[in-house]
Amino acid sequence: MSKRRGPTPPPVHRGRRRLRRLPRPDRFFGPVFSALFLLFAFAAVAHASGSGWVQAIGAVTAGLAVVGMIGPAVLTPRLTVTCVQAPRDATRGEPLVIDVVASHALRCTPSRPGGPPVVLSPSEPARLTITPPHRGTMTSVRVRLATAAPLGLLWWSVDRYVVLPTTIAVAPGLSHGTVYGSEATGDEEGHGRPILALTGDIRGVRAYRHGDSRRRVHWRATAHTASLMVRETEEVPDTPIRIVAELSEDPARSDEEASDLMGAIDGLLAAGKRVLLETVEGGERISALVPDRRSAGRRLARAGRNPYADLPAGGRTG
Amino acid sequence: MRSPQERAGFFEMVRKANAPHSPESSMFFRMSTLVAVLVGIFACASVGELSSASALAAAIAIAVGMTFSALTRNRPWQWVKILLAGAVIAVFVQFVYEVFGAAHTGELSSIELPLAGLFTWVQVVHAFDVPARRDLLFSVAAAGALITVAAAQAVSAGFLAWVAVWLAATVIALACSWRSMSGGRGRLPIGGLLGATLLVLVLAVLLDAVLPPPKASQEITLPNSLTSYLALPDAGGLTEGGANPTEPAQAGRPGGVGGYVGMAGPLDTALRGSLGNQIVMRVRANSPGYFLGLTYTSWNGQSWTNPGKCATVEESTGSPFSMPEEPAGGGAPSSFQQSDVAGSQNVQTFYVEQPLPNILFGTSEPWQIYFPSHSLVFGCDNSIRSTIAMTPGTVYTVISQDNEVTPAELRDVPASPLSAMARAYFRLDLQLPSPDRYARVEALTRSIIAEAHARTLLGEVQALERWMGSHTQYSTDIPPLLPGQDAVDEFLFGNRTGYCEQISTALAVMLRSVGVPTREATGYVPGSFDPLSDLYEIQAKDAHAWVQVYFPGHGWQSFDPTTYVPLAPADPGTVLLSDIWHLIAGLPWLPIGIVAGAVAAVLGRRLEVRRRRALPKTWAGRLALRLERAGARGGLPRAPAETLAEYAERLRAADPSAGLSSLPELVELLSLAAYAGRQPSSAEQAGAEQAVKAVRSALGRTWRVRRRRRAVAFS
Repeated sequence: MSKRRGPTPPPVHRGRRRLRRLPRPDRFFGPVFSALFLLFAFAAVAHASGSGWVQAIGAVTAGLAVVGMIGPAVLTPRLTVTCVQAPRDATRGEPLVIDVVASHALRCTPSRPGGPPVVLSPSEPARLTITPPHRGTMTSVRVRLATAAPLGLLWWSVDRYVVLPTTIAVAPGLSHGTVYGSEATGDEEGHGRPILALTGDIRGVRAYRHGDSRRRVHWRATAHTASLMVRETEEVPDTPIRIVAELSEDPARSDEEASDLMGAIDGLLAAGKRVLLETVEGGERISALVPDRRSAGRRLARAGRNPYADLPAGGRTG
Repeated sequence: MRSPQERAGFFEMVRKANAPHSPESSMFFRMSTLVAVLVGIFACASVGELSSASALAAAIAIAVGMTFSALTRNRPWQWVKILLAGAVIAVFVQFVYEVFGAAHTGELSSIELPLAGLFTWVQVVHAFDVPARRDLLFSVAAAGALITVAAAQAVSAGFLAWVAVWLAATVIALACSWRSMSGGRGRLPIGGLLGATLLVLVLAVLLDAVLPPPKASQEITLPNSLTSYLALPDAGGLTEGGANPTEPAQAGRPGGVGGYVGMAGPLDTALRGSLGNQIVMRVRANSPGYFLGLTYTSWNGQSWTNPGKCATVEESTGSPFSMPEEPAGGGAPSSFQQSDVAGSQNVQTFYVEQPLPNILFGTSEPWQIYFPSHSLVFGCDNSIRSTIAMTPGTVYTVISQDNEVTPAELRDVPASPLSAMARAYFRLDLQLPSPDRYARVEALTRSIIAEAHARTLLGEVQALERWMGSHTQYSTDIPPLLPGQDAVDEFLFGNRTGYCEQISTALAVMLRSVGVPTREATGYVPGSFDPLSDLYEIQAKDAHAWVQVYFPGHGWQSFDPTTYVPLAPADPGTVLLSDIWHLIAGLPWLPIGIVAGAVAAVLGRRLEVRRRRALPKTWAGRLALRLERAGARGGLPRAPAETLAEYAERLRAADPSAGLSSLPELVELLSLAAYAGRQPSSAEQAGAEQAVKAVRSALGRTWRVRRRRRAVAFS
């Protein structure tokens, strides 16, 4: 199999590992320091002028600061985001869009899987883009919800889980390693994985068709005919090609292995072969045909250890 | 030394901080910001920190600037920034020049005026470049600075209206800012805004209640200023105040403000003034007390006067002035002059609201006066007289050494007769019209003292006060004195009803009749306290008279017998109505009117928009609506399920004689226009409108006829 894999997945937004269950202020130093400085200035002016009105306005400003900076902390626990629509399939490293609805105006930042922040309005569906970094199955998405209502002075945020209406199977990426009918032969120096030659008995020569391997060129016939000729072999019996997916525990390595397998299966399916995929899904060994790439992706997504197992399947949501 | 990477990082940070933000499209945000800024400017003008012309010019410039910024928000004109930067530098240079000029003269307290100007003109310049939300928030913050600068000079409760409007505009602006941050969709939650505003007010009130009142810093010069300089023709004499602040006071005539007679010459107890509720002064004081104006020594049975021409001492040292060591009227043994007790300092700042007599008030024992004139005159009647007219806007500060003598110390003073030398010195303060005139008063006084077993001077005074409290009544509605009638005899042995002048005079005469030096004092009581401005609001009706009694070793001590005297019963209904009227009249109607006008304009605009939206969009629809209204006015409204043709037929059938023959053609024209897409020509439209008018007048006549017939039928 070839080492070359699909395009490098874009950098994902890594959320903090520590789950923020309680509301916390974001970057509070600036606003709090500014408010304290302002109130100190009011106290100084009030003292210098002896005016009770200055003190009164300082008190009002303090009230504004308190409401503006503490008010969001009261609202933040009540923030919710509900997913109304999500696809069933996705691909590792490629953006995935889910439709969500928020209870309040808020900023939603997917943290696991990561994604760009989106400002959501209440009761208006919006699209949230996430980029799964690993293959696996996702039942929910962790997001960081933030608000600064009602006065926009200080953001407070909290982590929540958004339960997906359907489980998303994140298929591995497609590597270009194939086992049949591909021109890939490894790296530039000729080192690569051996390509399985699925051939039967030679029964003749024929003209070259696009996709035929160079190894099949019949040079003598080519010299004779002055056109490229290849050996034709008997068709092998249509038995499914059995592929056993033994993925490692390491998520990164298992992703690579799954990508290779995906590429291989895709190549076989493209060549019209039947593939019998054997995987371990949920501790149970399953062996079944995969009729298309989507099925293969789903099987490989469920195979082995699920990196998204820590995301809850239900319970408290965003 | 920073590495290139660090320098690049710093420049990158600066570049990011100054990078243009996305333009702000919320007009409501811009309008609320504009209102907040304008409120700050007009509040500064209302307290005199900005002239009206400057405030108006700045307001117009800011409105124009904000409009310009809104129109060019998507593509700000870069050359405007260069011009604005230059303008801001010029404004700052002007501010520094004004401040250093003020510091040179020592009037540091006047820094607030240049500061108000600085904030105002910076706002004007800034208004022309507010494309983004961040810029608008800067304007909101600057509006807060403006209202604060105005608050430093605010002295009346009416300033609350400015604060309220500023708060509302600021809350709305911040809420709009949040809405912009959160996508800018949807309406502002009115309920949430009101709740947030209410919470802010509650927190502010709680915080203001627990904070100690601020005290004016005394490291710099104390407030004293003038708004106009009117020299008095008779330096040293007393003036009336009121409409003619420089006119000398005339005996027998109520003074200018509120009609009090006790500040401008003899205190004639037979005269009645009409003391109203207008605020004559506002006072900021460390501790409240009776603000003394002047004292009287000679009593003639009806009036208090001071003997002959009251000697005066003029101090021409300029502000601050110190009390002269030798009193006016000649020297005296110091033991009879100075108080042995060191009191605490009471710093009182007076803000004159009405044209007053040229008397400076202060609590007892003033020792330093900050007054913006070259000279002051200290009278023998303990008055401090200015040589310029006391016009509204005058501010002065008096520092008094309050004589904190405890009752226990006063009780140590025995009620013993004065020595011959003391009697000679206090001859004026012991004066009575004639030796035998008040024999009855003396007998009454001695019986009261004996009954109370008073052994000390304080005991005697208190016994007399208690007697008055239980045997007299307070009322301003008393019959006038008859010619020749003695005020004290009438009060003590006659109706026993009077107000502060009668009560205090009676006490003074009673004490003098038993040989206690006493004098009549007039001035103002502190009045009501405004917790927002920390000022005592002295009204004209707070003018008061009380008594000063001499205690050997402790000096003159003030006693107010009026506080012991209960009020005569008043009519509750009259008092209630009077209070309600004063409350309504005292409201700041200008800011309320502005806010109400703005709200009415917004609501009216919304109603108009809603009404226009409800109108049909096509000509045929509008004409059909007019026809329906004409029918409804004629008493025949159109049924919901009725077509126009059916309705027209019903109208004709209701009164065939009404001349509604053109209805069918009109209806056909409208139907073709509405449903067949056949637009009528201009002539047809004009004809149709004329037909509707004719129908309307015909139906109106028909309706009047029917009503008349119905009335006849039921009569």
